[in-house]
Amino acid sequence: MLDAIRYEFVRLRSLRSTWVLFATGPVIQFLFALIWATHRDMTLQTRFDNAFIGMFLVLAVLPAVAVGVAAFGHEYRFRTIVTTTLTLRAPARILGAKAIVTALFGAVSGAALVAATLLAEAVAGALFTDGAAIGQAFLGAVVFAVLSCLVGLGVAAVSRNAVVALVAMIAFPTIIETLMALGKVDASLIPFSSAARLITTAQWSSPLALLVLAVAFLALSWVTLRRRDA
Amino acid sequence: MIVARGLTKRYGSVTAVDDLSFTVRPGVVTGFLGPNGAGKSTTMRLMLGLDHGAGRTEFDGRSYGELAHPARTVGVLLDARAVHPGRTARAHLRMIAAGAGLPAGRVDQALDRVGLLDVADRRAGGFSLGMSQRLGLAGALLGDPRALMLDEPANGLDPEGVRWLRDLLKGLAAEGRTVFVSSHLLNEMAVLADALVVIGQGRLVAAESTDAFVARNSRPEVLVRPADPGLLADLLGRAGFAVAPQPDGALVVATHDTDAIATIAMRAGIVLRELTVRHSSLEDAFFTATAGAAQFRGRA
Repeated sequence: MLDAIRYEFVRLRSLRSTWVLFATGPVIQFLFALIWATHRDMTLQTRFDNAFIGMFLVLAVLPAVAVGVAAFGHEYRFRTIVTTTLTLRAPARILGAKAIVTALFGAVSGAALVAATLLAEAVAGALFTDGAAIGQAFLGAVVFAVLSCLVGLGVAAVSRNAVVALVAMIAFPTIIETLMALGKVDASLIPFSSAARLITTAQWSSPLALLVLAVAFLALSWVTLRRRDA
Repeated sequence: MIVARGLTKRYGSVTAVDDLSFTVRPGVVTGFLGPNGAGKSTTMRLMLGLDHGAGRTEFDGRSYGELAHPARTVGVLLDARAVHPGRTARAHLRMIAAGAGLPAGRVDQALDRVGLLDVADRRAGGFSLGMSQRLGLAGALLGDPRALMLDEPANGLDPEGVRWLRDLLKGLAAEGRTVFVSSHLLNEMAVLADALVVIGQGRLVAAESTDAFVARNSRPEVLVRPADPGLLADLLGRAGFAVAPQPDGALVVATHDTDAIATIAMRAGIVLRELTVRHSSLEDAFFTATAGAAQFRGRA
């Protein structure tokens, strides 16, 4: 399994697009946070929290999700899945290595979003310094980014198409979840929106729906990898 | 040694590979021939477990999935273009080396062997098909494997590259490795392959030495150019030979027995200006063996 993880790490870090996407999320988050930091009429906590709400968080995490999507999407687009399958062989090893590396990438990306927010506030002279709230945001952003990236990975593995997977990953939290909210679906069952609440509140069960979605897609990916020809 | 037994692959009602069994021996280059759509690539994918189907292929007694160190046992090139265009040649091989548990030092050795060391840090997206083939070969050679399976490795190579590939594969076979190569280039295969596995419409047509295949699928012919074609044709016909007169006055006789023709001509006082045994090419033998098996035919 260690060799499989090494394979994935080399695969990930040897592409320029990985680094561009890794930097894009925090830049987007920095700009959002900067806008909120200038709202002098709000408390520091509100400005900090607002930088992570709704579409802002989805957009800031999207570049990291794109990396998760590409982990499988590019394999099929460039037909490198044959090389990967011949090298790593077992579907569980292929999926496991991708999931671990994607999750780690998501975790670092999530942490970078919080760091970018604090940097923006420092630049605007409105640095939020509540350690507990910042810790909560770190945890929430990491969990949100990790699970979002894993869902992206799973959707790409099942669809075998990076474009379809990326469109799904944009459409679900924006359009589908808005429709779910309008349809009065229990807020805790709306995956992305519910998981995002962990950033601002210590509601430990809030990422449960997104976790279930990620596990479901990873399980489907495993079945797909086993059943279909490489 | 590679032993394939009962390989079968169906797509719905279509049987792409039909109960194929053959052995690829070490120490020689074995060519894998078949018309377009015969199932060569599917067979190779089945052998490696990439496609789901029936049958089993063993590499030194174990299936690909059971091998302890697959990269050290079988080097594979199935699709030279299957490389991320944004990744450099060196990074592509480093990735494979990392996954296969091979030392990173093997990467530059493999690149050097295929002549790509100077462009190791160029992105594969800018490579020509020939360069991509060389990169694919480097990937196959990375683990210094005992067997090689290569699907159309000469595609896109320039004449120098084709010659280099021929020398490389013959050299690897001479070291005692098992080399299994598919190709559409029959003239190249005639020079390269010592043995052949020939398939048509997913079924085994032949699995034997190249010489035996050509001999079995060719008609014996002698070209004779006599001073008096009419008289010699008559005499040969009476002696039981099948004779085909040619427009330029030559005769094509269905035999390899030049002595008999020379004796008949000498006894009749006929001067012979040419008496040549015509050897069938691998191309002729291939078309004879796979007659009716070609799935796609155009018009000249």
